[in-house]
Amino acid sequence: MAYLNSPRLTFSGQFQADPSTVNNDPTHFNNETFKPEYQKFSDGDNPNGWWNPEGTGSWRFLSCGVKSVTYMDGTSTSNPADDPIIGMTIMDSSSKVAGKIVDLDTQQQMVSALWGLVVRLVSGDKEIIKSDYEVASFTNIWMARAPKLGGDTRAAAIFQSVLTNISWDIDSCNSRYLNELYSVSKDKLSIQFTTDLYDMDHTSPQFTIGRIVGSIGPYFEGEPTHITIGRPLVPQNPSTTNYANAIVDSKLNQLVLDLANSFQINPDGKLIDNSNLQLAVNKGENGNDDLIAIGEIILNDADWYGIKSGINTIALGDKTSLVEQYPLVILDSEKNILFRESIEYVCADKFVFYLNPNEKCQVDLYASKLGQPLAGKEIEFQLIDIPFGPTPPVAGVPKSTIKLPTPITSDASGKAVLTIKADDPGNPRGYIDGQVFGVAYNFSDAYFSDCNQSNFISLLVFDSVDPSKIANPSWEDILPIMQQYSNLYPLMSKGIFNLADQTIVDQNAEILKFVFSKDRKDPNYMPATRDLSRDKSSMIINYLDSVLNQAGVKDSITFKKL
Amino acid sequence: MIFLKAINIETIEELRSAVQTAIELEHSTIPPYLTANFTLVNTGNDEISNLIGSVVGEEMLHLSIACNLLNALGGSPVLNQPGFIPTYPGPLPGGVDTGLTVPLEKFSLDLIKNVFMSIEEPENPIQIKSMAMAEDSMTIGQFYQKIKDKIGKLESEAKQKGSTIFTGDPSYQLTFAKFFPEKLLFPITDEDSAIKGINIIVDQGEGTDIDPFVNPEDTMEEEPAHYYRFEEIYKGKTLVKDPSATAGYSYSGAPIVFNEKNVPNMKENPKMADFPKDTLAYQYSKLFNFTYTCLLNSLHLTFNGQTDQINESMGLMFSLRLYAGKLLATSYPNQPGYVAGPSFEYVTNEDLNDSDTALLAQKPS
Repeated sequence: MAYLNSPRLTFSGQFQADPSTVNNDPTHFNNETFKPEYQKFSDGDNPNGWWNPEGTGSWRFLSCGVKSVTYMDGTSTSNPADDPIIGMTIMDSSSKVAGKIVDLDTQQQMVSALWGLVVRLVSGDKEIIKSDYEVASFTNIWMARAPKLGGDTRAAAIFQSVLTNISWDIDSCNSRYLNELYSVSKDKLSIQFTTDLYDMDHTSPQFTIGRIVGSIGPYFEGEPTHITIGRPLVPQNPSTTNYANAIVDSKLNQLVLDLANSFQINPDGKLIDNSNLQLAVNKGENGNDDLIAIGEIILNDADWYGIKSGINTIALGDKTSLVEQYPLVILDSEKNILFRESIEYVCADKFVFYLNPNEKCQVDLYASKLGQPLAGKEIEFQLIDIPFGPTPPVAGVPKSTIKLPTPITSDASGKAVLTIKADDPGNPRGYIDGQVFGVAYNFSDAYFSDCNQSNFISLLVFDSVDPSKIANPSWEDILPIMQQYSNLYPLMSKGIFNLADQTIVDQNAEILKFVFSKDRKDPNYMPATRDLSRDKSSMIINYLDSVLNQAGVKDSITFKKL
Repeated sequence: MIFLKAINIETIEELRSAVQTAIELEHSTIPPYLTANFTLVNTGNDEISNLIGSVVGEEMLHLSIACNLLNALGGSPVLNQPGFIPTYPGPLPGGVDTGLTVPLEKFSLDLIKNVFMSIEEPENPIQIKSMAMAEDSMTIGQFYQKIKDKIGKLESEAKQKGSTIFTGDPSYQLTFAKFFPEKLLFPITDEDSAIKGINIIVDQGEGTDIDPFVNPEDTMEEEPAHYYRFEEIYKGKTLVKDPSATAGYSYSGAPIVFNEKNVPNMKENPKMADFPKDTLAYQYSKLFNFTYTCLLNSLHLTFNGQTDQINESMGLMFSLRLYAGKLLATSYPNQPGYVAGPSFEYVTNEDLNDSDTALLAQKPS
């Protein structure tokens, strides 16, 4: 059960992502060679600080409204007269700072995560639902989504996560949908959205804003939180189509198909080709196709994206057992096969991890076959050699940093837990802390290259710091770190605190200690980029403590800087 | 000098209402001071900026003291309503209409002299005599004196009946020792602590009759009262003890130089609605105002039982500064030579989500 199950709602609107981009070039981390122009916007001749050097890091919903609901009995409406939730607003927090969008690393910018995001459903100024979005990274980034546009405006990506710490105030709403949702999933909800048409032009009125469509549905304990076990559909021509997923709801005799990030669009956001498609199953064996038509996939529908969030529901009637038994295919009107189901499939739930030396992380992998748990299946792992971000410096080395186990086997529920242990990478990148690694996975009887190439595990392993330095740091010890933040985040260094200035740091030791000590999930945590190692964090806090102990006075200028 | 409408306080309800007015009044000076200060960021005017910033910090303290007082008196501070923010340009809350008009403007020496010094002008008996004071008006000093008097009167009446007017839940009292020493921000639980709190507000704002410097008990560092800090900026010299001067003090200390060159040419009194919706100025104005509204929401929670929420408020204050910077770096639409600026408007969810379908459908660059 997840966002594709009933009862679900769809929403659409806009989002703002305002990352700072000076750090998009790994060489900008080198304090020795940093130039002031790296803090400027790129111009025709020079990349400088790329397209948004003054980013705040904020990520927020803008103008997002609930557009449709699907009830537990499978019926849907997009009419506010039927259900007052239609037209309510999806917003982030109204009483703390916006969530943050954060790259894992300057050399792995393709799994950016949302931290500290609050998700609320509001009606006018009344808060109906308030919840915390569990940190999640995007995946399935597709650079060919809007082929007529440039830069990241071409791209689309999806985020899937869960909403926790939910407070409900639905009694006065008189919404059948909300009552049903509360009755089946009051503690946690599943949420997924697709983002595209992101505006990177800093002279445009829509700068840092993009389009979003999504869905919220029930979540049940024990299920993965960032993926939906379903019917993974592999594009047969990845240059014009992208991965999709579907679930079969056998109670309702329906197939629910998420195609939001699967087809190319024009600059106006409409599908380049909105011809309807055919869903079929493939009874063929040994590479021969034997297709049986199941139903039509309607794309030629003005509501398809903005109202239905690119989700198609196909009534299966008496064909449910066929669909449960055989792999799916999707065909175009000329009978070309656009998608084939990956019959046996394995996918990591959480796929982005930060590790300090000698720390371990556990990766939950789920093996499935035609949407059902696949037990007793062996899964293998391999470090990825090719860089997945800009270079230099060299990424992914030394490989000995990462300890991977021998193949592991899925249990009766299809689940397998991979434990990854990290050693100290030993500062292989010099001016950038730690190292990034990628771990590919697949069944032992399949090829890594056959995977969805977004399906790998990303790791950032930090360097260690000499314990005596951590315990008793001088300004000179922390200056290189502070100088780097000052260089890379000009909005902070010019607008609030220049962290490279000892006087400023010392005079604001109390507030700085406060934000450096916050929980990483807090949107006020510093650094917003979440790229500070355990050891360096301790070193900075110890330095600030020593200032506070020495001075014994309150910050002298914090309030002058508000 | 600011004149407030004369108020009558007889009952505990009227006392609470007067303290709510005090909260609004203490808040109302923050947007104009902050706006001027935002225009000084990175302009080589750190000294002036720190002086204004120190006043802003103390206005925040005064707001907190007033909220603690209202909570102590069994009231509930209201900070999250549209009417909480005054309209700029306009009179301050509780002010008489014929009084001073307070704008949101870039920093200038004229603004310091004509507005900020007027707001903070102490109650000087000689001046008061020479000013035609409307019969139904009072000074800020008189306003707080009246509150103090009525606290004394109502509390002694209550005590005679074996009760107290300090009926508030003590857990609602905000202290924030990380940033405000407890001698300045402390729980208000009785008449003594209430009077002590009000005295800090008045002393930091006006100083005493004989000394322009704030009583050392009432401050973190040696500093003149607000009026004199602004006058230092206007005169361009720090205020120092000067035995040769008649008052014993003169503006003859270290120079405070104003570098006008880099101050952004912010158009005065911007309004979000004045920016065309298809402009970056509108987007940033909306985000600034949303952040400001979030800050008021957060402060409202802080002073209504969720004292830990002050930490979220702090984050929002920094965030506000960033969006002000973005506005001041953005051209004012259709006004060549001017930049946009902060408007400090309360936005509702509807304001924020006026999803303009034209914008949604707009072809991205």
